[in-house]
Amino acid sequence: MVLCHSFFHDAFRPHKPLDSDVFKAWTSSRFVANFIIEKQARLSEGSFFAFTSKEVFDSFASKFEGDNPSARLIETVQILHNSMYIVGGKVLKGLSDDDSVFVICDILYSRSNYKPILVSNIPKKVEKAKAFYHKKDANAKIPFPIYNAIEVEHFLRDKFPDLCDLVDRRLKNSFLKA
Amino acid sequence: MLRTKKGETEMSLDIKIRAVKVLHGRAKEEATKQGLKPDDLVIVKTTVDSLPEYSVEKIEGDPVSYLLKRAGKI
Repeated sequence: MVLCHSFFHDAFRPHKPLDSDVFKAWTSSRFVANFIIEKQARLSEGSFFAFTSKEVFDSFASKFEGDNPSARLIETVQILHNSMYIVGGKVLKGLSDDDSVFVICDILYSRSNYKPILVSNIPKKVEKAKAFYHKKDANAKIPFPIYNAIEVEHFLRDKFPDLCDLVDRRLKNSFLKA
Repeated sequence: MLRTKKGETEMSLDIKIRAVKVLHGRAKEEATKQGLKPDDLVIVKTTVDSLPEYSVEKIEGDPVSYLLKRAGKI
């Protein structure tokens, strides 16, 4: 699972949105983020379920922390950082946020038996991915699915029903009720 | 290293969320001392002076909301 900026923005929104579409994106994003944390908490050290680029994570973290963040806020960003694999380095240098996650998906698809899903709540992401692939080959197909958080929630509920039940039980006792 | 509010650094190796069932050694002992269950999630903070110390903090409710509350966002 490769995470885009819009997903972070929706998942860690601190207040319940009033708009119904935004509300749906928020509840599903929060569910998926909780699932990722739950899954990662059970994996052995060095194994990861979710990925994003350093560019995307840093952009989210900077907005989330704001000016003069408290020690607890900095710790929270560090905990989130440690709940996924943040890809940085030369391979992504100079790429936009969008292109950096397309590259991560392509590398995961091409160099491992991992089947990546790109998670984005921006509808235009598919068009952007097509434009990215068509730069070099007009007939190239995007080799991984691009789902929004609502679609990812359905996917996870189908694939990991027991862990999703646990996420639901924890959400029932949440500080932030949907 | 963890950054603190004043930009100072505190000796720390790690802070992450783990399920109690995958903890080992002294972190597990600490969780057991607190009476936590295998499916409970905890924030494990590892600090190093000479011998590493593991603080274990139980997550109440869902992790996202707990982290937001802990960070003072809600």
